[in-house]
Amino acid sequence: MKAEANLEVYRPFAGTLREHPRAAVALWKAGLRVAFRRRLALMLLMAPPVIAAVIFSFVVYTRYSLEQGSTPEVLGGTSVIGQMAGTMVKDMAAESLAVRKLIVMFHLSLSAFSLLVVAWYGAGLIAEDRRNGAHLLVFARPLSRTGYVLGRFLTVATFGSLAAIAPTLVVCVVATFASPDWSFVRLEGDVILKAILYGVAWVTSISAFVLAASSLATRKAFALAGTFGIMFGLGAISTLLAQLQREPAWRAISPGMAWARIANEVFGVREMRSRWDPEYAYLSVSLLFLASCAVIAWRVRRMEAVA
Amino acid sequence: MKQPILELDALVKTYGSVRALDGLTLTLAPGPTGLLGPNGAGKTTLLKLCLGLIGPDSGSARIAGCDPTTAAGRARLRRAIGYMPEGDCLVPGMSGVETVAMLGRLSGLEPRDAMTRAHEVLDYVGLDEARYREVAGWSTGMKQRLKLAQALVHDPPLLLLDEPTDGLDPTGRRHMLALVHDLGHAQQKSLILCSHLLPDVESTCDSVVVMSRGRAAASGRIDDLVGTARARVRVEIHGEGGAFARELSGAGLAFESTGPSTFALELPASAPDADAALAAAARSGTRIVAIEPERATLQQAFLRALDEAAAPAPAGTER
Repeated sequence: MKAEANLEVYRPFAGTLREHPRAAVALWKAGLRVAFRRRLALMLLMAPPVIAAVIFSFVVYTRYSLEQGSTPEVLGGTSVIGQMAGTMVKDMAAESLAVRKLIVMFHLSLSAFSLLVVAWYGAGLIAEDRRNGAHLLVFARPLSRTGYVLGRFLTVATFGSLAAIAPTLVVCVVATFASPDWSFVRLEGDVILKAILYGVAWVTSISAFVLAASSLATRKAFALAGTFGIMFGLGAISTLLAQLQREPAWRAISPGMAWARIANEVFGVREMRSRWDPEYAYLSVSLLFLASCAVIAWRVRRMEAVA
Repeated sequence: MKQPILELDALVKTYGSVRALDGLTLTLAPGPTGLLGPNGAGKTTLLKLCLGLIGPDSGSARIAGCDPTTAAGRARLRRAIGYMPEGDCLVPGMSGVETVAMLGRLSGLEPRDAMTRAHEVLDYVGLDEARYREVAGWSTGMKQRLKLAQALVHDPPLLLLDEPTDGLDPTGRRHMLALVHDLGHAQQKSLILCSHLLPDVESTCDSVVVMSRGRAAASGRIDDLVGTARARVRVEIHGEGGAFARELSGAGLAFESTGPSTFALELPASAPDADAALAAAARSGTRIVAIEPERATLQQAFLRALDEAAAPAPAGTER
């Protein structure tokens, strides 16, 4: 069938449409494709976790080597810089008597860094959809609001996991193979499971928070500013209140400190244990998560209705 | 008789104190239909309702055989509808073909089908190599065609097109209208074309619905509506125009002075011939040089429908 006015042929679709489209997966893949296209940002944001993973893996390896009475060859360099670096790593490894503590420290520092990654990749997801009118196209499809949020959440959580969970798992794998007689798995194997669970909880919570900020903002830049503004603002307020009231439990107001408190409790690192009740920390992060979910639900419902 | 694509019965939708749809009752047969109305008439609310994005406060609706008030009905409905929104809308960071394929997947296409269909519909709307570039850098005309392509990707039987020629240059507009006409006629798609440009509707649609204050002020085939518009004639006289105008006023005829000796005269439906003009000329001592019928247009039918909708209802009748 050829139409007039230089039109191409219209070909009717002969197949069938899925009853329940895997919309969240389609949105997730699309989000990843767009994010991976910005290679410079990806490199800049992912380089620190990769470098940190390499360094900490080496420290863990060195620690187990020293425990067995041998020094890794790479630390025996003849150059001055090589010897200095070798001495530093040996000192770090020797001081880190418990690999558990080392991994927890690494995990916590990466969690804080992953906030930047999650914020960068998540802040624009809903805000830019609305600004560019993509929601008009998306919500005209057989796509539920839950499917839309899940698709966006999976995108941001993927990057959060890459920054927060994957490097820790690499260090755990190195520790597993470097430890004599699998002692790391036998004696401290729970760290692996706890690191995964803690990482998943952290990424879920922080992703929801960033998506909530994104749903409220009109631009990615505003969502980024809002995310860090609220995070640092709550941190400052919590510290101030804790000092003024002489009650450390006020620190639970800060999401960062609350998560650090939960980490100390979960991983059982006694040296790092704070002096306040972890119940407040659980309550704080739960409330933040629920509030984030409520904001997302409200804003996405509104987005659909105005589509 | 084919199943109607739209069956609305006493539909009411309010936003606070504003009644966007005020007991709208409407049945549309398959085929291309124009949706007209001034701003605030309820067109956008009707489109949202057609997509199942909002539910009515009362009344019932069946669109393409689906009930938009239930979740299952909405899902079926959105598979049966292709929506081309008004204004700019694009998925940030994606190329044209990726955008259409992704939206095809959201509509229920398998990944491979989605990519194949994306290329087919982009071919149809005439987007060639540009489809591989990021959409953000495209011209308005290309974006409009992309929006049409994404509405077609899952080959829906019903298309909702909201201002498809908005912002297009004459060439782009002609191409878009040719596409819409082709879809509505050669491809036998049912479509609802929402536009403020009456010539666009006239050239692409067979039927029209004129909305006013949340109700259908008029609906039917364009030929029928234009045919029932009051006849207008252009009258040219020889003599004093003022006296002729006074006689026209005295006879209760609606007219417009278009020059010193020319008038556009609206003839009443009860007396559609030009006898009244001839009588007025005779009484005023002027001579009629020419009487030419003016072709009735959709615009006249549209304005008449709005006037009638705005006129106060006679006592004892319900509007």
